[in-house]
Amino acid sequence: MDIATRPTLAARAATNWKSVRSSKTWQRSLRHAASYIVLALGAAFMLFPMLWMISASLKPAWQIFTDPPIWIPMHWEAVRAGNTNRMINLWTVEVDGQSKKVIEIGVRRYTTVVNAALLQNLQTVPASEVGDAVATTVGDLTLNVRPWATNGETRQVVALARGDNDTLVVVAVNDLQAAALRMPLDEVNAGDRASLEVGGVEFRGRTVQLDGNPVEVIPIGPESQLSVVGAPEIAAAATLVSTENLADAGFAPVGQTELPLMTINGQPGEFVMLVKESWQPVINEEQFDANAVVAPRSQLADVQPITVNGVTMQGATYTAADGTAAPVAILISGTQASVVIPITSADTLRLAQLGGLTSARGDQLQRIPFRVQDGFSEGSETHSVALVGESREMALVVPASVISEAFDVNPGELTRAMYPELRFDGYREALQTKVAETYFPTFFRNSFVLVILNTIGHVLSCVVVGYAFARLRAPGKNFFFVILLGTMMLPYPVTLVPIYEIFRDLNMVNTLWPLFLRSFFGNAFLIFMLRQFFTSIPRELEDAARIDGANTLQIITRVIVPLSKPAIATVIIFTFWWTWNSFLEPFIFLSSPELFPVAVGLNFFKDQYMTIYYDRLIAASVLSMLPMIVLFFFAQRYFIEGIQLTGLKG
Amino acid sequence: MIAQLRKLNGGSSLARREALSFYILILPWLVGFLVFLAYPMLRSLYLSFTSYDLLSPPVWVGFRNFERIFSDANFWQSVKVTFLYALGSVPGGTIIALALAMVLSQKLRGVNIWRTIFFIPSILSSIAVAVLWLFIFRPEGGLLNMVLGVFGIQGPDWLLSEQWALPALILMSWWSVGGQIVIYLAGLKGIPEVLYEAAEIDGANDLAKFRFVTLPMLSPTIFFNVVLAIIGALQVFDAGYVMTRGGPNDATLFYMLNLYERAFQMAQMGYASALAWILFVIIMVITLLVIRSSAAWVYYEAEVR
Repeated sequence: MDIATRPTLAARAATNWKSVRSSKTWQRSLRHAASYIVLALGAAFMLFPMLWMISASLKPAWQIFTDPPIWIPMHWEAVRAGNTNRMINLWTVEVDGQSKKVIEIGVRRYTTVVNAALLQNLQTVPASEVGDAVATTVGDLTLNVRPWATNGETRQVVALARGDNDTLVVVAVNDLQAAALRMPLDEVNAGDRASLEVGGVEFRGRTVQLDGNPVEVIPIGPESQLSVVGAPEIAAAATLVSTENLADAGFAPVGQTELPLMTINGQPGEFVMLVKESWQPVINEEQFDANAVVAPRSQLADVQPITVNGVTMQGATYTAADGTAAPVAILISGTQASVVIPITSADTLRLAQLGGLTSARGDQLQRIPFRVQDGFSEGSETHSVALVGESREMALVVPASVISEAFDVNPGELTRAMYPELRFDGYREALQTKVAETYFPTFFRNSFVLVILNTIGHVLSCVVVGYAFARLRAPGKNFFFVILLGTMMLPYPVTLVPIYEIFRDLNMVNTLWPLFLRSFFGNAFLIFMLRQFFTSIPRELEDAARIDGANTLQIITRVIVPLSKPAIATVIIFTFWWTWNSFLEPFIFLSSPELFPVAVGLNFFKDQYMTIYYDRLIAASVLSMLPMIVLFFFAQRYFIEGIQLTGLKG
Repeated sequence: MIAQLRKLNGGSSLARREALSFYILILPWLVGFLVFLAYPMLRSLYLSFTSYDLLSPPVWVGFRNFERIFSDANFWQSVKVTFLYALGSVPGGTIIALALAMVLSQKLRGVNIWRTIFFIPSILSSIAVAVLWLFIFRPEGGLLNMVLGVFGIQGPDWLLSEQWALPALILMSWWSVGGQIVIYLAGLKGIPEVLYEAAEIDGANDLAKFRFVTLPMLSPTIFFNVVLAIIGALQVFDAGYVMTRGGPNDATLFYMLNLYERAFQMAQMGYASALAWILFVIIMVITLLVIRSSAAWVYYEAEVR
């Protein structure tokens, strides 16, 4: 009995399972699950690159390739330094449990040194017995402490030097403490080098001043630093001065550290230096190209320093060949001749931070070489600038009174102050950046010109040819229709070389002609599409017009065209699409950048700026996509219907 | 009698006038066809047997261009690269497009939004898309390796690696299959619901319905699009030129890239024309082979248009 029922139960379970599996609900949920998985994967694949691109185009360049990624574009918070165009970044720091925004006023580096005279109990031990160094705080000192395992016990030591035969010269932490002290790194490095000998071991040390006495010390590290920070308002008082005019004036203590003080030649009071940077005189390339002239040495007189827009340059009086004399600034001095510019037309001469000029390219004016930085951005302006004169070290200083509000922090406690912001500068800069001798809006203009000409050509030619194939009867019509269909799939490479030859013979290379002329001779696909559409228009409508005495052309313009608006819209849209995205032909036919359409211009933008201006390149490619996307949203229906027509044959 | 004659006469002259109108109206296309298609084809056939630098007149060299081409390692590399590219991008793209179209053809919510999302990448300029994917394929900080990193996979150097550059371009080509999705979606809508109902009565499950209804009914559309995709893949140029210039070490030297370099960088127009004709023949042969094989896998309904 038992034995008989068991398989029956199992069989019943199996059939139950089978019926569940084949049941409708099971199938439907399975289908739904599979659908949603495919949809999610597809959407991720299709959408992620788009979203990433849009997000990247709204970021500053440094944020584009961060790891982990920053999905929401952030912006560094910064304040303007006085009335200069230098921005100072803000940091946040925790003070008494409150987050505060500060600017960095100064930083001082420190190292641990040992007073050689007080050093004792050195031991030479095999390196294998000593472990790795760990920066450890001992009292008020930081030391690189290593464990030394010897005679079954572990002692804390600091290695001072490397001995012979893979040994280390070490000293116990306890013995070192009395001899070690923390010193500012700049003071240690300013001391004279000294060769010291302690306990038979040679050390390279320094002679430094300690409480007015010369003391021989050995720097042992580790190095550390302390930052002095203060309220952002301090930046408002900042001014830019040449470092030549600065003199040291001792130190002012701030908490655990101190700030170096400065005096400025001819100005009362003491100052604190925020940053010291190289600044480079620059002038807009357009102004340079328009006004700079090459002046032979002999025609320059009274060479002396002058100040133009607050920038100190070499000035001179230039007597031109026609005898007129004018005060000029010497932009680039050569051995035989110099490039000069009249002071009256040098209003874009200014100082720029050298950091933004690192990818400058070489150029020359009558064989005098100089350098140009394309796409140099300051504030809301982007220009190509020529680097002129000599770079100089400038310091951003604030009155020393700010020290009363300043305090010291460990740099590790500072974090960059950032806030989410959609940054459209990339777009603006992309449009203002010189690319292949012209600017991006030129490429847009060229593409639009081509779109308009091609549209006119296609509409005019395809409508009449399409009508002929749709309505008119003629011997040989089928033959030509088959040819028309055949040309739709013809590989373009076969005709590429001879077509280039034809346009070269017509003297049309490097003009827009080769890129729109052929549209006036129809397009097989568009003719076919229009023919299909025209065939669906009832003949009776034409007959009425014909009885009224209309000729074929009148029938086309008065009857067919008004009824074919959707088909003609599709012709326009496809023409826009093909023209906008066409690359190889304009690339082959055009060599002057001012004729480039968008696709070719973008390719040049990429070649020129791929490695420096990521943000602008991505913004430029978004801009180049924008007209297509806008067109798509306005004319989605025609796109979809046209596409379906291309692929639904067979 | 006279009236009758006039009518007859008028009738035939009407037909003649109609034929005349036809030829006048197709004249733009006919001229364009002769000048910009028929003549260039014959001309390039002629040029393929010459040595020609565009400056001095072509010099007849017989089959020398072809001999040089067939003994040129660059040519064989470009053929290999182009075929591998087609082999990856066409079936992969077809499967992705078909799968997404199948999903969208079910009565899902927001079909139009999805269709838009999938379609937009395919209308964008290949150069802008190439620039975008240059960034996506960046080994450090690029989107792709970042996503792979989430799954604990250390991504390769993509475009900088000889081994991965071509697969990268194939992957990128799948991003632009939106046009095919739209086409398949329309094709799927055209399949009569009755067929599915009949299959259901016969006890067919989802897989069987796909196998015995969807696939045969859609096969002419699939066939046509596969042919177009193959032709397109064999002529690909933009991505290879903008993203890799054929590198690294010719790993992405597409056929058209090789042709472009010969024609417009080395000014070897005869050689380039020979290359173009070889490509033409390859494309024709493949198209014919696909059409021949189509009898085995394309289902045509009895009423052929």
